Amino acid sequence: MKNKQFAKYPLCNKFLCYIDKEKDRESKLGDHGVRKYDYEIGRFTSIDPLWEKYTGWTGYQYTRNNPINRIDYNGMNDGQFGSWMQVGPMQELILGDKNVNTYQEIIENSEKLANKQLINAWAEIGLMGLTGLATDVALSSPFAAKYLSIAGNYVKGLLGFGDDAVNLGFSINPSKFDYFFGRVVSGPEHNISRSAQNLKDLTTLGIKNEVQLTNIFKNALKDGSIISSKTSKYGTTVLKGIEIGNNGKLEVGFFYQGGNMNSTPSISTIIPKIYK
Amino acid sequence: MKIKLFEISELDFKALSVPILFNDDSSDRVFGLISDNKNKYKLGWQSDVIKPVIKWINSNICSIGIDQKFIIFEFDTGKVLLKTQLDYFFFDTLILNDSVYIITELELIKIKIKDFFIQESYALPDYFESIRIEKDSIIVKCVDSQVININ
Repeated sequence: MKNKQFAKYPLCNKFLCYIDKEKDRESKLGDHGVRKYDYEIGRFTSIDPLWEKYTGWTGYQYTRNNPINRIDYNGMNDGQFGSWMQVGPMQELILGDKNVNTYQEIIENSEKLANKQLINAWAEIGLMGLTGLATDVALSSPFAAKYLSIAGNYVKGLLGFGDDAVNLGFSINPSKFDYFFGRVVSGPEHNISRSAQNLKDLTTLGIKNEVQLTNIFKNALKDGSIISSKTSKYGTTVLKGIEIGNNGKLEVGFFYQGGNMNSTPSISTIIPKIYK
Repeated sequence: MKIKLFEISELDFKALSVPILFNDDSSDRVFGLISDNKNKYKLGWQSDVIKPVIKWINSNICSIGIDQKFIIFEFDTGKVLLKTQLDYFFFDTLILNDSVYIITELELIKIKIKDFFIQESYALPDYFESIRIEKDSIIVKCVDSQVININ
């Protein structure tokens, strides 16, 4: 089957399958992780675990029969080229099934794993506007080095760590995550206790890692209800609240430096509320 | 004055017929009874890792802070002198000269003991870490190492 994605992978050979997935030598099926893909007929060989979500489609289809514009890296979810900007898919793309808890792990792994496959994937989905770059070109120096750097910076950028930040709409000092997830274990007792309490409350709300929390910050910034707005000589803090299922609510402080409401806010604090 | 804070069950909290200092029906998970054997008051709060901070302003006037709640009241009469909902989590109370300072995560609030009105708020650039007194100044250190001088 010839199409845009397939044609872009000149290194597809007897060991590699469609979109660079490993090929089973006997069955010649591509291993997408959750399911196997038969690239000769352009279908998965087992039913979509999320078939209930796509009842209008056969459970064996690939990317809703739109392989030109969409891609499915894991046999579970497909996405549009260039739209895989969300943290969840990005984490999945970088780490596969690996369970991670912190962005530091993602950064470390993304830098470690910024290999051919990652470069392919990132170039392919156009995250960096690199769509159309051939694999062999991408791998050749100095491009490879540049991609490695971009890979790390992209994830860092998600959090506002780097100058190449891809705008999430806010930034967060990584040390805040320590405070939110109970990792403050030295220093003043009230900080240690509050950090432990934050961890307990976030766990009760079902928020178990930085990726989840970052997504909630995104939602709070976009859809949260304004609880208060307070201006000081440093800037303006807008406290926004967002419901977390039926468990409770998370109030998030967005700090606008110098009171400039057009600037990118930073996360100043969280206030978890647990419903009874 | 010697007082004790006992943790009680929610059922006991509801059953006890004593004045409430503060509570929130929707989110309280911990309940307490504060007593000097003569006077009793009940209170409820959310945090189960953190305990309320009780400080005496004088022999009869008591302050209690926990989570986003803070109260100053007369222990022998139950008269509430100040009750405020804090914007940030409460950390500690400092009593200095003629003022009470409520220390929260990102703010210090100064209260005049004379009338128990909030006199001033001092924003902090990052989480509060420590406080020290130097002559007439209060020096606050934040987690990001910034130091704020409050006169």
